[in-house]
Amino acid sequence: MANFNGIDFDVGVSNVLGDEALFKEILVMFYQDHYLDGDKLQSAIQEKDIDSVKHIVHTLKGVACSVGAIDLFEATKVFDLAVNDDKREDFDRLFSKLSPEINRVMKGIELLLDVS
Amino acid sequence: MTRSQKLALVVDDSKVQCKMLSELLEEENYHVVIANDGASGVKKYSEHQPDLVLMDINMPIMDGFEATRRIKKLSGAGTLAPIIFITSMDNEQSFIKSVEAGGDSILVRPFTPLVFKAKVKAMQRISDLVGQVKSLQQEQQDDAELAEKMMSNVIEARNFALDKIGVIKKAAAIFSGDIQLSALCPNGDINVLLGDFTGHGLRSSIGAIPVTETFRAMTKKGFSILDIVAQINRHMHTLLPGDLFFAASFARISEHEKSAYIFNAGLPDGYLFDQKASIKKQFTSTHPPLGILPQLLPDAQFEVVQVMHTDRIVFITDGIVEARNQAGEFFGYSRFEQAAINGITQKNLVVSVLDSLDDFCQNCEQEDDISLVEVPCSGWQKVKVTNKVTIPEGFTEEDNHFGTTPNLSPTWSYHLHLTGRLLKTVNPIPLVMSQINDIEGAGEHWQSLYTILTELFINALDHGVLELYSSLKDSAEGFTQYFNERTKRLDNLADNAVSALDNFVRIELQYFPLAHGGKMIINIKDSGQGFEILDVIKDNSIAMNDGLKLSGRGIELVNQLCDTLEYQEKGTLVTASYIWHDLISLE
Repeated sequence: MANFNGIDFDVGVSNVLGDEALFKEILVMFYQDHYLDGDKLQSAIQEKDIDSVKHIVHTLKGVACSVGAIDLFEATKVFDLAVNDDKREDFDRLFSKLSPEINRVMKGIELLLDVS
Repeated sequence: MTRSQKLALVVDDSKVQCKMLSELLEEENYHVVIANDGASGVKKYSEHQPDLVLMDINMPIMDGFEATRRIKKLSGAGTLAPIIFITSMDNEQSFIKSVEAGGDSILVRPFTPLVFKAKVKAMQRISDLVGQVKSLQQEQQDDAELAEKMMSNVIEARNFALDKIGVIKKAAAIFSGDIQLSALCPNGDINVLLGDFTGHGLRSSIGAIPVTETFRAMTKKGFSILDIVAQINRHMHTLLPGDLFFAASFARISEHEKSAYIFNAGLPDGYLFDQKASIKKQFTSTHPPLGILPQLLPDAQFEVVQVMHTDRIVFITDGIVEARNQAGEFFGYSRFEQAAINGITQKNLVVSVLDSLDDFCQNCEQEDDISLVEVPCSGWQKVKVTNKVTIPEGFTEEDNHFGTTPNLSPTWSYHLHLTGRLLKTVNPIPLVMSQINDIEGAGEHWQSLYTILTELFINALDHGVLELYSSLKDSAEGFTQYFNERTKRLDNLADNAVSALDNFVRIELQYFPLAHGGKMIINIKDSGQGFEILDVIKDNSIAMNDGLKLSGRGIELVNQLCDTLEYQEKGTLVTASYIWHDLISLE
């Protein structure tokens, strides 16, 4: 069984009914769609583009949950709440916690799967 | 996609989510269609009409709430179009907004495949139920339409002279709770009924068949309008559930008597219009709707009016006057009357009233059945009665040739001796006619016999026993007065137990078959004082020629129909001989 950093592989695979090959395929899709989310989120925060902040965080939250990236999910969840409560002063602090989680998960996938 | 496979639409802007949800759905035997934003979700919904929709909330172009609202609008009220929101927004607000937008369920992340599976199954179960209800509804609708068609055939298609009666019938549901009937009486009068059962739809139309049967059968047998109303009331009281009753107006129009007998039990006022569209009279309800009381009120009485050939009687149901417009106002009586008056002037009352109603109500939903009948007061009689007294076709030589002569004993005879109270409560003519039909079978020629019997019996009762003067009927007002007096005297007769047996009318019939027809000898004897036979006959003849006198016409008619008509015993006994020939064998 592969050991993806930041991803609970068992949870993720069970979410696609135990199909490991499919799950790996999904992890590649996840990587391709979201590996730039850290950069995108940072610019959105700087530009005070709240709609984009909200969209990036919310989507990432849902997907992280689905693939079993539990820590990433928890970090996005806290951020998502702050966005909903419009606590902009917290964004930088929350980003500094979220960003390493994104990187960790993406690096983990990069390491074990062909994401090119 | 195989036949048993269902179709699901996944609307989510994340390809990862779409892929994962598809996997779960395919496991549940769904074929999956994907859309990545709300707008294309709506488009794909209308293209594919899926069995299930999984909807994300936050999406570009159009969010999940808006897409759901549009899909629900597209699918209409009759279809469920089950939509499950799938979200990671686990707050109250998104839950409430999902339901408000029309979502049928919500699934919040994280969830396990087992929870997902259970959710989809539950949703599908509801969706199947809705489908079943829908197909049952459709079946019921089809059945109801078929039943309505058959019922209309039984009820309205058999109405008499439909082409002469103006009719509006607009049902609020498939079944109308309103009923319109017309039937010809044996003497050429016409009976018309407009009725309105409580409510509308199938429930309110269940009484229609018994009402129709009673109305037709009793009219055909020659029962009076009050007999028919009383019988329908009894029927409705027994048959209808407690909260259902029957408001109805009845009219019997006698062309040869130039009169109409009206009974209104719970309907809006009926109208008598003249040729110039003026309202000559209104017929207000004088009795509670039928079916409420076990019997008619003791003082229940019809209204008698003189009518001209060019007059018309109009009955309406409350659906017309209570039709409402957008502002909630009623159409009301004055608008109806104006429309009716305009209609008569333009020679099309029905169209005028309908147009006026449509203009008023616009596209407001119809709340109750809307009905009207417009009945002309002439044009019903098949045989014209002329003023000239014709010689009736009597006994012919040919009858002798074939053996049977009227001098022999009758093959049967019939006696009915009614006294006192029974003279008020029993109408002997249908009884007598029923006996004749039972013994000799039905036939066209009995119509004339019915007229003869009716006229002679009424004369014996009114002028003999009740001592009423027909001269009272000379004026239109007198006509009503005559009938009021008649009712009063009949009541006295019924209440007077002491001399009950002294007041009587006796009807005797003797039947002689002929080779090509038959002969009926009718004797009617009454307990009255008698009258100067010659004077009356002479008087009537003059009056007839002058076209002045309203009364006496009955006797002239009888005289024309009979072979011989003789008064004896100072006018207290009348003997009529009625002969008919089988027309086919004489040709």
